[in-house]
Amino acid sequence: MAAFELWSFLALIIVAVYAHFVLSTRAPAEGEDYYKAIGQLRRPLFVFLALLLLISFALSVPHFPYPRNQIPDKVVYVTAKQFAFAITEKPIRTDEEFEEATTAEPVKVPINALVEFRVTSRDVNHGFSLYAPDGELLGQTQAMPGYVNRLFMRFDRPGTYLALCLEYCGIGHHRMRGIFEVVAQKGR
Amino acid sequence: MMAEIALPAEVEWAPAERAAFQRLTLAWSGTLFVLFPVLGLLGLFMRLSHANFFPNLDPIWFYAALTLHGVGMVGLWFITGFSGVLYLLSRYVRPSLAVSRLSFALTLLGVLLLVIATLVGRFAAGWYFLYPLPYRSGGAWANWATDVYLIALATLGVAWTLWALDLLRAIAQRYSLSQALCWHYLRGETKPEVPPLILITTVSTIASLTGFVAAVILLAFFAADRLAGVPADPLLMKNLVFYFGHVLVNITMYLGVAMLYDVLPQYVGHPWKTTATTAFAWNAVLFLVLFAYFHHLYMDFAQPKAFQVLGQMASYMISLPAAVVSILGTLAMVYRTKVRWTLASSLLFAGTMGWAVGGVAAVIDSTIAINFRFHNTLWVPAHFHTYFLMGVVLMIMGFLAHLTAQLSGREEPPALRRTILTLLLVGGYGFLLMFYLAGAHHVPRRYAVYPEELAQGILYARLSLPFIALLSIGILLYIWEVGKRWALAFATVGARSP
Amino acid sequence: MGTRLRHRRSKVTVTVLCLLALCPFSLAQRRGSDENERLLPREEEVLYGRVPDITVRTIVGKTQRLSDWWQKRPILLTFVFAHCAGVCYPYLNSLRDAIRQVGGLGSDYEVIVLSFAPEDAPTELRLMAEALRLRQKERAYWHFGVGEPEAMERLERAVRFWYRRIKSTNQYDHPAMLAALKDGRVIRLLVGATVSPVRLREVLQELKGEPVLVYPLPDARMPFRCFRYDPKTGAWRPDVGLLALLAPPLLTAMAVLCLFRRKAVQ
Repeated sequence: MAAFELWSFLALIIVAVYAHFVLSTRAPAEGEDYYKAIGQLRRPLFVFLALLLLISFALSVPHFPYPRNQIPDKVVYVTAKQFAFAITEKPIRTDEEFEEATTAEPVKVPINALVEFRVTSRDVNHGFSLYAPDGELLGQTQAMPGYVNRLFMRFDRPGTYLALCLEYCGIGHHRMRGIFEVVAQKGR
Repeated sequence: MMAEIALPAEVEWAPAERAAFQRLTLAWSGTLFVLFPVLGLLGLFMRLSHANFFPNLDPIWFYAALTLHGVGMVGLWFITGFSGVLYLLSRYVRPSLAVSRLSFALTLLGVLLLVIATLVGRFAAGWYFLYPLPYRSGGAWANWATDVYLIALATLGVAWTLWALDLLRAIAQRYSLSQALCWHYLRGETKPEVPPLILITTVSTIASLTGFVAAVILLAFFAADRLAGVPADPLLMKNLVFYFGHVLVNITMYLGVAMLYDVLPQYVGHPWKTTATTAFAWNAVLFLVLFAYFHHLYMDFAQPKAFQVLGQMASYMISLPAAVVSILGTLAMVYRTKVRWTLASSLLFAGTMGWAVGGVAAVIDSTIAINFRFHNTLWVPAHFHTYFLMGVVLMIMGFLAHLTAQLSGREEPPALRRTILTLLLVGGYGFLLMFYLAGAHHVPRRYAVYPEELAQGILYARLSLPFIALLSIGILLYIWEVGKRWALAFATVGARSP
Repeated sequence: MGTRLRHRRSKVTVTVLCLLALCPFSLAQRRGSDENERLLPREEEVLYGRVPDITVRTIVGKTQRLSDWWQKRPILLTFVFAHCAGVCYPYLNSLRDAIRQVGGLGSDYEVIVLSFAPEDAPTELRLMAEALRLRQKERAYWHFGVGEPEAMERLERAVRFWYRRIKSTNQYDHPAMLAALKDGRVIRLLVGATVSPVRLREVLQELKGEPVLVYPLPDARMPFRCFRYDPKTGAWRPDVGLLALLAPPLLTAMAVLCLFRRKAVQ
């Protein structure tokens, strides 16, 4: 939500500036060259925005979701296929295993543990997302045929987590799901 | 008055030729009166589906509508933008009428094929037809529908590539490449004077050509898979399709900005001249636009990390020229100035605000750490609808109001202008706000039906409906007013042509 | 009609008999593959698990704990027995060759070879180490040793290593495998009779904390990839597919230059 607040704050500033400029046209200043005056703001505005962007960039780098030098506590294998996710403790190698896994008991992962999801697809592109029990979207990676994307996550709330598909994959895209559980005691 | 604001017209057209050109421009823009309401209706249909109005409808219709709405809207605003810019450019250079006519015919054919593919063949892989989905629909649509869709894109690709090449040819007849890109301004020279319209159009056209080439390669890979059974690398295909799509959308935006640079000064009485800063900004855009598309692939961890970092940097930096050159320039142009506010100038001006507001949302989403949670949520359509619907669409609508006013000699009553503007802005921003809120509340995009865990998606869709109603009335009033002028202009120009 | 029916019936009978005859084979095959699956340690069962920090007596007369090594740098751990007439010697040779090809020994990791046979003493292992003909500078980072049987059992369990004595030949049946350990945790298991440099390089990359993010599944029929893995150097080489990404700007640049050159000619 912080992103929404940031956007609405900046959007309101922009709207206010535009309103101010539109209203200013009601009282035109004859003979004065405001065009040049405003033009002189260009350099300071450029410097200000460039700095703002560069600082934001630097601040965002440590939050890249790409895996770093960490040893996970648990590995979970995620296989996507039109239109379900199999979330398993072992890699899925055949369609039969996939079918079996989609109806099996949900995998349990321990709370606060670093979990590695190894995500792939058996047919088209899918998007593997993690929804917390309260409906918050925690993160995601793409599930691609021929590739295994590795997503590292830590969960601080126990409960049933939902995986929805976040890459359009066909007519059943919106029904596609998978679940797993985050448990307080060490699960296996 | 024109003379002091814009450079003097350098190209003399024979009256008949001029009339033919005007008619062709009106024909191109006339597609808007048909396609905008129809494609908009598809958008309304999708929001109604989100609001759970059709619980028993086969979801294929939602996804087919999604596909046609997406590809149709981008195509529609690209062609109206390009034809409008071509018209404005005809003061300085001489584009070929024959090529534009051929391109028009091919575009109509392409649109017809798109409609057949989606509404008859129920092709529903999304505008971006992510490989390998189009030929692996799980029986939801037949392979022939995919064939028709891809042939339609190929047709449009040929049409627009010819159009773009001809435009560059026309510019090349008058300017050298370094002049057209205003490199002499960077060296501190101001002669020959090159209008910003030429600069922006050259940049946009070159960039759009790269996009079309990417599309050709993409289609070739699809053909290899379909005809010879040779699979393609899904990651490579993803890069190609997003390169093509991102560039096309970006360029459409810039076509609207080119109109802004050329038309707004006529209502302000102040010329918008090329400077070294303008030249630098647009050359930077030409470079950065090649890399910004990487932000579509942030969630493909398989993509080399350097590309991701480059993508975030390019996406951040590309906002600078827009903000400090075009938007600040627009604001400076009107400040405490006697502006003749008409539908045309108001819409062009309002369009830059949408560009800024949507740009802020885009920069936020192009931050990898934020995209981790926002990727493919409704935040994405929220931001691109802001700089499309409330940005370039308003600019092109403004241009069209300007063109039809010029050619028909008719302008709207001020009360109607105020009504249309209020409806478009209140309806538009209200509609968008619901997208933003839904995105911030984790509602995915491209969902026909929301699962029960995402019930907030239904709520925001319902809340957006009154705003869509206001927006629709605004658009219909605009079409009513400008459509009348358009018909009048068509008749007037027709009377002048042999 | 009757004959035809009989014919058909006999055909069915033959088919059924054939199928029945095949059954034992297929069952045997099935069991065989299941058994194989069970016998080969599976990486996913031990991934990121901790291994016990056991004490090892090395062939150079030192007694130290495994953690003394892994606190310095990651280790590659493998199991052999001194009198092996089977896979152990060729396996160690292939490991040595792969390491020479890939590099990084001593700077990025060390190798620990433990004997699982309870009767092996350090002296016997020393002969084995000598037979490997390691170079002088390699010897400091190849450690051969034995552990207490009970401790070894715990360690073997932790990485799913097993062995079985075959009385008639006085040999052991056991898998050939390599466990890559970092901070006492299993990062990768490599199972198989030889160590390929390609796989070893992947393992080492993981040990460095740069996870191999993708395992592109190579499809022989996929002629256009952006990058191709070069097993010899371990580098990702630009491939034909990359041209597809470079072509748009390059072709456009050519077209633009052509268009604008024509003007100069006129």
